Amino acid sequence: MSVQTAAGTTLQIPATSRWRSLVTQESVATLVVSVIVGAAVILPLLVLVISSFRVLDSSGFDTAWGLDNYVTLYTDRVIPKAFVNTLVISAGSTVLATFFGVSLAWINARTNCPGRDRLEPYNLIPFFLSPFVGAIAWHNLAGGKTGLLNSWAHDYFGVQGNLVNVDNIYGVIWVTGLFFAPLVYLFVVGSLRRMDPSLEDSARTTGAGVVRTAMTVTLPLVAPGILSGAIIVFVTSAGEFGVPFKLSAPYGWQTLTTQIFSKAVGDDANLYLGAAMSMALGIITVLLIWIQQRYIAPRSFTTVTGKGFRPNVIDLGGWKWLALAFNVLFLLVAVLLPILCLLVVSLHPVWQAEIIPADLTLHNYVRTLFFWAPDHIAAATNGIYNSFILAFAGATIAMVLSLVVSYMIHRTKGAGARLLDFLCVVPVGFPGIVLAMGVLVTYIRTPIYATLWIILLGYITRFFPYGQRNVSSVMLAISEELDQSSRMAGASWFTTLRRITIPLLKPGIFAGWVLLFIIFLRELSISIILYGPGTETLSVGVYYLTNYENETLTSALSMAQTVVLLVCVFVFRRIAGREALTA
Amino acid sequence: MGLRHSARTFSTAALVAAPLAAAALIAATATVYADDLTPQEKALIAGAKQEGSVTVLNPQFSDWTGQHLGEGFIKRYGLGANFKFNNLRKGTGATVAQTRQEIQAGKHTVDILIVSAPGFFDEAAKRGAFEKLDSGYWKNHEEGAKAAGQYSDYPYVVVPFAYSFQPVWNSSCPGMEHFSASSYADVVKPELKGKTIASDLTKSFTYDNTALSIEENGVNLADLWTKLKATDPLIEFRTEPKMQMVISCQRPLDMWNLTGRAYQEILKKPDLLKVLKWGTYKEGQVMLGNQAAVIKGAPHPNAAKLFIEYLLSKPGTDVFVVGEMMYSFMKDYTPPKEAAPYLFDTKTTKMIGLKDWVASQAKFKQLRADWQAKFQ
Repeated sequence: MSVQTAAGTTLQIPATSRWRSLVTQESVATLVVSVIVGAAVILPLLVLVISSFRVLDSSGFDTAWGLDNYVTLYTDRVIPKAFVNTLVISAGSTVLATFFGVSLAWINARTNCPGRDRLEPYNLIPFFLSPFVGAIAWHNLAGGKTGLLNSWAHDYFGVQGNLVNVDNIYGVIWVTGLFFAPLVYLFVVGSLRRMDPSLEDSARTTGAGVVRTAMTVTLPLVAPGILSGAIIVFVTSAGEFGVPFKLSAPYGWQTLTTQIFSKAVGDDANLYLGAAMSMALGIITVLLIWIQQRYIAPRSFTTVTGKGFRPNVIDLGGWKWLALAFNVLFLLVAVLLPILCLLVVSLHPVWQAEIIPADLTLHNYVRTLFFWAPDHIAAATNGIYNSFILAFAGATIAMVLSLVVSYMIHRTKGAGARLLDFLCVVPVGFPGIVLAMGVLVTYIRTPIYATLWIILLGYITRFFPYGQRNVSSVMLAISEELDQSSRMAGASWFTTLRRITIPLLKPGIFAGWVLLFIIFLRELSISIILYGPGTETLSVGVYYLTNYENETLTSALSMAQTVVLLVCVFVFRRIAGREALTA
Repeated sequence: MGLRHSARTFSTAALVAAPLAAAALIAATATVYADDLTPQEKALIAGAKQEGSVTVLNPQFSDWTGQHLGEGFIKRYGLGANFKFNNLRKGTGATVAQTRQEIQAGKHTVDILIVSAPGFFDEAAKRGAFEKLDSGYWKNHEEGAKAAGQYSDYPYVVVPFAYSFQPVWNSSCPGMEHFSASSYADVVKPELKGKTIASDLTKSFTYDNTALSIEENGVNLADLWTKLKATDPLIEFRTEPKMQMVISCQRPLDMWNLTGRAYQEILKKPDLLKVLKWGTYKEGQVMLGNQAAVIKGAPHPNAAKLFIEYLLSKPGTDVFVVGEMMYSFMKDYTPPKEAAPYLFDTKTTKMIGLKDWVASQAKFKQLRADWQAKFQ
């Protein structure tokens, strides 16, 4: 091979050198990472697709090729209704979450609502807590007949029947909407803060009031952000398992996730039908994520210009107190009331829908938290231990992977980089329970089956894109010239990564690590499909207590999980700062 | 006519003393005397010690029962402090699903499966999925199990215990003060509207078999479902959450629950003894035998076979009878007196079952479809 130099001379490069130039640290790392990410993401989905065409016979042991599973999706008595329920829940949750998310974002970013700076971090708390635990809390708070609110309404106001009842599809919408409101908030608040104030000023100077300006100028300008948030909420709600499992499935409202779970591990278990159902759910969510990524996300910043400015703060006058009351009310119903209810229920030996002071005890905490207690519940105590291991190891491995993948995507621009970028979007589109089905079917014959490793694999595959986005956002802000200077000075790829890139990315890496740590601590959809003897997680422990014990023990472990998550959020905010929280 | 057992006839002390009694039972019977053990048990001990662990997959044993079974098992055979007993509890369906998946994949994480699923055990046994047992105790159970019409397939599948769904209600809930149930007509009366629970037939072999059994014995299922539906029931699957519904008055009557579940809640709050009631059906109580087998390819086959022996022995039987209030088919077996208030008298209560437990599985599809048409 010959290479033309700048001086016009021709250099002859021997074949061995050419080969050596191809086999660099960078190329090997790219190849290895691409193979790992490709295998982790594509393999389970591929196996899931293939499995969906295997039809189980009546013995439950043998299979044949066919389309029967897909026919069953339409002919079964429950699945089509579950499909409709899923769409209704997702649509309802999206509307509710969008209402809360946009309202709170506007109040916090654009108005003179008192204490808005202090309230903002608290508005995000539901995002970090477990929706499953939220459902348990709301069941005890506002369940038909047994909810504390109904009990008090009856005892103190003589209300007959149920004042409120969340044990139905509307309860699922309510809880899911509350918990996912911060997702919309996060998508919208940035756009609101970066908006050009002249657009609103023009409206105001032509006589439009606060509300009209907000509705006709502000909202349309942040519409891409709202739409992005709404799609993410729709997809996340469609994949949510814990809330419908607790609030709607027992009362006749099945969803696709509760049906997939039932088909994966239920009495009439049929993994192959479960795979077909997973495909149906996955196609919907992937399609929506694709629309969001392809058409909506690129438009999200069209209101942001290169000019440096701060948008006007709107003076609400006396209405600012109403805005404050609205925000405080949200925190009350989304965070405070459910946590208080969990605490109250957890202090009783048996929950009889009323507070019995003489019964109060901490024994439920002893049984669920202390593995050395003689009557401890192993699924709970194992779950705490395993979840911390999984969260620590999972977050660390996922961030290492995220770092390398982000580097490949943003610093090596080629077909490989585009492929990796695509692979990072794919897991976001598939609900956890769908991906877990794929992982289970793929790895059931391998040594990692029923170990913590398979759960770790499921976690990392599903959630590492979250870490990758965190690192990418910081990496994009760092000039490539720094890397190039290091390489030109003779440093290898790995040395450059270690001594230049990683130190600069530290804030993003740490923020991503803590975010994943929190997500892994509360994860249910993947764990519930993949856990085995002794590999229960914290959320599986809560599920176990719900199914095999009683509400009070369930509430005790739920309370413990909530406290741990709140501490993590506090640490996250203290170390990473407010900006990282909303990044 | 079935006997109605009310907790009222027994003292609180006797009822809540059961766990203490179980602990005492373990202590009393656990000491190893070589003469007490059968040759089969003796032959398995060394292998079990070497394996160091055993995992039992089942839907039944609570943490308390599992813990005490483990302790009793280790003590009886001198397996040592390092021996690990794992009690893995999942739903009836989930246990079968996991085992079937593992048999298909040839990858095993559990050693023993115990669940009431005759159709599954029969199919799996035909496929050679279970280890051959050589039991010194099965002969004491075989006759009783056969007399009760239970499915077994020795030397592969045995039936160490059984349970039976009974009506359980909370007499402290509004409108339940004078309620009593001794027949299926009692639990679907119109005045019970908003007070009932419908057990989810689509998720449980044992509910299916109970329904088929009572139908075989003269109960009109279509009529029963129609009347039950008219009471606007909540649909639930596991007995534990159903018991929670009964206790909290969310649904004060469950037509199919277990006295063992009532007992486990009474342990947590003894006052419940005054309000939780249970009865038996004059149409007959369906005895649901739980089959047990050691999975071929299981990681700890000797320990697994030894544990089956323990379950079939009197010391092991005493532990799960007291812990779960279940029934044994052991010849001349008398349950510990502490358990008596929660168990109906099998000699005087009308006991019913299925003519063919294995063939019944073929009827599940239609049964569930009919049930779904009514309730879902």
